[in-house]
Amino acid sequence: MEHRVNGLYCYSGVLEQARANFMASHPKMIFFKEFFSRTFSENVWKKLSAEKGRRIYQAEKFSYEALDVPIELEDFAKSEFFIDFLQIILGKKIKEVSLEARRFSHKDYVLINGENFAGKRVDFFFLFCDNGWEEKFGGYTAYSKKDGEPIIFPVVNNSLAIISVEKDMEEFVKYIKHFAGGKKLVKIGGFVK
Amino acid sequence: MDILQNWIDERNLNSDLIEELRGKFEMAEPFEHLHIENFLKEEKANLLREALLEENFVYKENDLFSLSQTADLSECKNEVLKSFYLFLSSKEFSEFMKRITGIDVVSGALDVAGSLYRSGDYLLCHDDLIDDRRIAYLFYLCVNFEEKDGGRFLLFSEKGGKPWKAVKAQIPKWNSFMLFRVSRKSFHAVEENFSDKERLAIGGWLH
Repeated sequence: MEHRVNGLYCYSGVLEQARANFMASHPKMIFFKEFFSRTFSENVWKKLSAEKGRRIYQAEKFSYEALDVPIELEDFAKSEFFIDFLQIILGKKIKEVSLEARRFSHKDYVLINGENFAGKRVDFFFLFCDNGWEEKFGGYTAYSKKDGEPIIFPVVNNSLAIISVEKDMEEFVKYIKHFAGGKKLVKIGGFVK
Repeated sequence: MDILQNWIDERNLNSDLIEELRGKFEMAEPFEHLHIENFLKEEKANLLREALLEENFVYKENDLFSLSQTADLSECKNEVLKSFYLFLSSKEFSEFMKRITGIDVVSGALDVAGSLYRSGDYLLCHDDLIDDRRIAYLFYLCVNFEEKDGGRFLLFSEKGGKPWKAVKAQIPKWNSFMLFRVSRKSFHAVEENFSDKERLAIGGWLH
């Protein structure tokens, strides 16, 4: 049993159902709430919220703080458990995963800017945030096509999102409005090779 | 009465002032722009505000913005707004714009819509450079905005063809007229509205 993860996600039956849900959706995607165990999640969040970030800003593209990925999360993402987990959900072999940590607070965002667009791929991200995050704050990750409504992943603490990105889809992080006050969120994402 | 005199405060039609404005426009940093206070006749500005507030504003949002807009005012049925549209479309107005900017625009070739930024609304950095837009303009019809309220018009400096940082912030003052040349340098944004006040304006582009 993988102690870092919510026990529910260690059961093969649950993973098989998750895989079925992923495959049946258009585009293929899935969202796991309360992904990590409470202890693991709280320890990671404590590190992420306290870490001194590096301001990354290009007005016409993005504004956020870059963080180092905590070693616990780096180890988890490369672990046999998580690779197997992804392989079951995606139904294919995976060679490696990459990770990057970004912290967002009031006035931060990522715009659709063409550089995010890297063709068909599978994205995933873990999300951690302060308690009491409301939809009106913004900060959500969305995938947008030229036509149609964007696909929005809500800001939920201790969640994992996986999406099979289609070739004309572009990603953004919605500007965080002043309603958020001093609250922050951290997105630790990457893609699967 | 001349269509310009019908709408614009007569002080802004003075030849000496127009020449001064042209100079200010050409020398403005970080890119060519003007902000003219008390631009319209006060009673006209009041009528415009009342008329605009009767219009249907549709909320729109994407990665770049959250705000509400009316449809293009060319189709508007309100008599005040129709009259204002005719004023903006007139040969006289395009000639006036040429005098203060030096930019040729085609009379009648314009976009006009009302915009409304409520609390939390914003427009992130971009340059407006699409199609044959030549001049971007805004008539501010909002009341009592101060620096702490947000909603300021931000002008960005440019470095290597990219926006560098916001170097000027214009508070949206009642009855002021903001305009700028659309170019590769015209990076701008609307700061988030931090207040409960409504940032109301009519604006668009001259082509």
